[in-house]
Amino acid sequence: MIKFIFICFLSLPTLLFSAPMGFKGSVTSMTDISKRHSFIETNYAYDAKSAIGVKLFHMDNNNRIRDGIEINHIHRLFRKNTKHSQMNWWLFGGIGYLEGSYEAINDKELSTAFVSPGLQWDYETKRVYALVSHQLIRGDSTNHDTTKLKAGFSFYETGYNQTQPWFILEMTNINGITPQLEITPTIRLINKSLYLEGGISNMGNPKIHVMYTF
Amino acid sequence: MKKMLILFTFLTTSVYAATQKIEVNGMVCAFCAQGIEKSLSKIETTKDVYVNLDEGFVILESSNDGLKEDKIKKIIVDSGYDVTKISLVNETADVIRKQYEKE
Repeated sequence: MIKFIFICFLSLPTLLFSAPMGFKGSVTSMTDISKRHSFIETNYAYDAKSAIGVKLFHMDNNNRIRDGIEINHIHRLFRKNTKHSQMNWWLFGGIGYLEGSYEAINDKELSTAFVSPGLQWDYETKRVYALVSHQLIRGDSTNHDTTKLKAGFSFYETGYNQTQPWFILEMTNINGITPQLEITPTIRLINKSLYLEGGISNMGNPKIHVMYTF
Repeated sequence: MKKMLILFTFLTTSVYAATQKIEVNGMVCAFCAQGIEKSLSKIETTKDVYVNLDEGFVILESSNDGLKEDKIKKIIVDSGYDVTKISLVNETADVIRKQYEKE
């Protein structure tokens, strides 16, 4: 059932998205597509610091498949704005349900509720970007805790209406899904409402991340 | 009569139009700053909005005598940024846009 909903979501051409949240009253949608982990998420910023969203995800490392749905909440704990930089702490978490195979008992079907609390720190100037996040994904006999590090720089500064290119190095570990740290050099393009990233990881897996704010 | 109406329209829009320069902290990328532009553009009296990332300011041109400072601050804070200064300027948003885009 979850797989069916996920496929339906991916087939909708208008659903593109991915950043924690947008400005008050906005809807932010994002998608991450890669071999081992894909998701699609939409959230609504009901005030300046908080958003509520829905996420569908698919994990697959050839031996283990997970399809899940999650209702989540994002809260900006702290933001420091200066003339040339912005630093944030985000607290997020969700509850959801996932299905998959249960390898420990001969591929028996697995279905479990899960919780997914997480914390993120990010820092950005017009030329430098860094992000560290850790999220627990825990259910019955399930642990897909996810750690992500991103760091990079923009090639040059641009005006508000121009497309700004960045180089970002992303390192990800998803417990039980990625066997080690998956490192993906990516090119990021930002043009106002649209945010696009693409790269190929050290394991040869292409990855695309798209985000759009309405 | 037609000329008088045109003159009246010109005078009233000239008298009540105001351009405000809003200096903003934290505006580091266009993806984030679009919230400011979208929110200010929704205001009924807004004629034009110009966002300058490089210098960290926003120009708001209104058809009346300008938006109240507390309302501007609320919109900017709701977009995730901090206001450091609001001042009135003589030029229109388009004139300022052209000044900076020439450079």
